[in-house]
Amino acid sequence: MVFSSLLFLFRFLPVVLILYYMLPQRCRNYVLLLCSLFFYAWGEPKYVLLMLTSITVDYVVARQIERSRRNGNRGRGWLLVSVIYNLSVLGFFKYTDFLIGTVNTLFHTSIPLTGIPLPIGISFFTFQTMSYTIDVYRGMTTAQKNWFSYGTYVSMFPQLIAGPIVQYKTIADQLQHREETSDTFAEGIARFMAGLGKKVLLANNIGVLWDTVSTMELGTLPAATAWLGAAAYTLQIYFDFSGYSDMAIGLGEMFGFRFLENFNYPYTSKSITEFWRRWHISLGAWFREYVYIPLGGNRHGVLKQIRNLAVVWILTGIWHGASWNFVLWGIYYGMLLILEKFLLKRLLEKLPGWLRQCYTLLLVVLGWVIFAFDDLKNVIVYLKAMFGGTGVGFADATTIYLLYNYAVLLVICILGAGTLPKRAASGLVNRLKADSSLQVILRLGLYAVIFLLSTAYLVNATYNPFLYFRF
Amino acid sequence: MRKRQNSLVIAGFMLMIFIPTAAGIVSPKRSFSERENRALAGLPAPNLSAVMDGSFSKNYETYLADQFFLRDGWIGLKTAAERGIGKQEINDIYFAKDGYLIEKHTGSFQTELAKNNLQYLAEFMEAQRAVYGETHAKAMIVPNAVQILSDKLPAFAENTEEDTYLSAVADALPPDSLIDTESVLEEHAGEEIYYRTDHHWKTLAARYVYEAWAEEIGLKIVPVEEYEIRTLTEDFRGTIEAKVNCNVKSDSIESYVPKKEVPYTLTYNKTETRDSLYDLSYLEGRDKYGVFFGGNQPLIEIKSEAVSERKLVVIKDSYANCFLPFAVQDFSEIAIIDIRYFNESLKEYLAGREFTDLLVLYNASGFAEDAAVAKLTT
Repeated sequence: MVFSSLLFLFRFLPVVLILYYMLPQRCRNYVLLLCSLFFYAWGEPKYVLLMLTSITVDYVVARQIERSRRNGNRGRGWLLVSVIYNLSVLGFFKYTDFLIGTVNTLFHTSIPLTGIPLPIGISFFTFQTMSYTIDVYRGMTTAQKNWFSYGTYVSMFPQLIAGPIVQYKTIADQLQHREETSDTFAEGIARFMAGLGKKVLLANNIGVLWDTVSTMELGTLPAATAWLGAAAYTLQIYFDFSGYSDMAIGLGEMFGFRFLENFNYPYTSKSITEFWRRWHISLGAWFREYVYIPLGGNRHGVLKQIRNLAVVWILTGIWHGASWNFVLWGIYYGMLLILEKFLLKRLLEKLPGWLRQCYTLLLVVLGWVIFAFDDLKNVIVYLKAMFGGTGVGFADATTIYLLYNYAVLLVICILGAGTLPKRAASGLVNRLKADSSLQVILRLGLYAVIFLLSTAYLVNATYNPFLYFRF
Repeated sequence: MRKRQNSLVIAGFMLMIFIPTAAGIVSPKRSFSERENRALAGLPAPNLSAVMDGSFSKNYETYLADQFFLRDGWIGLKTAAERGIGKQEINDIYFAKDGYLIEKHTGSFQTELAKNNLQYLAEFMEAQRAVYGETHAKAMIVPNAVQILSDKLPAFAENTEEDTYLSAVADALPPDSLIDTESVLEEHAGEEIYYRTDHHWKTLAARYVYEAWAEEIGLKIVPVEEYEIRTLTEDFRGTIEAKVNCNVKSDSIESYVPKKEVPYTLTYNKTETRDSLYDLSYLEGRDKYGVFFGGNQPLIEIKSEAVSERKLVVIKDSYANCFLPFAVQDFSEIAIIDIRYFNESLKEYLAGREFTDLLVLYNASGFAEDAAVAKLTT
């Protein structure tokens, strides 16, 4: 199930809210667990068993690690069980066919693909469960004694299928003692509405522009059309992904949870290094904490550091999908980050802010082109088109047609990707401080507009993709 | 004070999600949408295999969207929003000049099906020319509005897919077996030859093409002056309007009634006899184009007292429905076959009867999308 659907908004969410708040407090984790399993089972019921197995394996492992510790050893064997289990599950479901396909191309064999569908959200929940057992092993958190509470953490529907990657230690306390207040609930509503609007109204609609361009004959694309398409995809993926995170965080708040932020205006970054501190923060944090630092980070000289960065970024790339373009995308960012760290840092510091922002955005847009096409041939053809390599001129009638069809939406999206809406909102709040009823009216009016329009777009949905089915 | 604000926000949110939910549960379900002219999905039955293979969840979500409370209103709201931000097309429909809604038919002409249909038709025409002779076996693939009314498309909108396909049609068919309907209609592109809100051509367009066809096959016809043009309705909102639900001027539907009508009888599907080409009850509903012959039928056989030796068989889609009333005045017998619903063997049907003329009449996008065209060659 996805948040941006009629099913979620007008069936699932009302039922969950009623059950959660009508039943006594001690039932709340059970309600969340059951509802989350239902949420996960919708559309592909078989994989609920996989989820229950994952919950149980890591629940048992963490308890055993603590028990070993009481007996005087560290429980390394148990940790290995967890890591091997999680990586095997991820590897089997996500990378088997990729591996077979690669072997087939390299050695001209024809091993048949397995065609196993990818369990939705598998990359998110395996990373979460690994963070749990590793942290228990390192003594950074204690093992959860209640299977149901642990199950609630792993399966919790707000963050289940598209993140953020919530580390167990950040919400361990909240699982037992959280307080649902009208403050957090109202904040959750605000956050959810913002996310819903970003996903349904902005991402889906600007996504149509990208869809139009990317399905045209790429070999004869004029440069301007190619740039327009790339810009559209850049905006789509930001509003889609950050919108999803906003909805997740908002829903979490409705049930008294506080998840860490996942996006922080990434397109305002002034370097690639900064971009990755603002984009999908929970993923970067995960790789830093569980791969980069354990490998030695920057403590063993420049060469080792470069090696560690390379490992992290190849893994980051392939985490996004089992396909070579994602590997290339990871390498691309790995190289840019290494370059910035060791060479460009000084130079960049001397440049004016706007130029640094242009530099960053340009590289990010090119990165998304690599990200967007599974087929590397298409990546090359598209990049060629962007730099006039198709020889059909800079623009044609279709460019102009697309531009004036999408001009208003592009402007809204570009302004929306920056900090302007946030500053405008807080400015307004400050000015209206004295007039609280007007404030409420404005807020409710805004939510109603977002909600009604989103509903209209969902009822007549022609384009409502779920972009993370490959993650 | 903050508490009070929060309660108001929470209450507002609850109303937003609970009102449509409750309304959706208690409101009566519709099995058919007149506006969209299609069956709406009903509540699927949750049996074990459907749940396990995911088809239940898919069907349930379709059901939710189809039965959503005030569905048509939401569609209209979306259209208004899209127009508000300057979109010139919605759901593959151009908001063209002079109030025309014109379908893009994106992708329709580039499918395998579209390519194969060309071959089926070419083979069929080749075979029929041997039977009826070159001047008597003809095909028309009538261009859609997007092709003929290209001047009305929004500025800078380019659409060449149908044009490419029509050229391929001309190349594929045996020489002279295709009536050049495109040139005929282009000559009259400035007149009202397509509905603004529907995917069909208007009776006026059909008349122009009828005259051109008659000339090519050497048919003596009742001249247009002998007809009186009647407006059947001025309140027609067709299939394209249904997809966007917006405020546009409605269309009129015309019929050409001969001043001296020859008597005729129609036999529907070999069982039901009728005495009129028009089923006026359709003017009460939304599908007003169905006034011609009461919509598509598998087989209509017409006997007319027209003074003519010639007997016509037509294989057609709904574009023919406003075209064929003219033929009733000029042929003594007509058989109208809609191959999509016709369950007999076409070969046997044709072999058992003495027709002098054969006509295949489809609109271009309908032809490219129709899986039943394959039946021509079997």
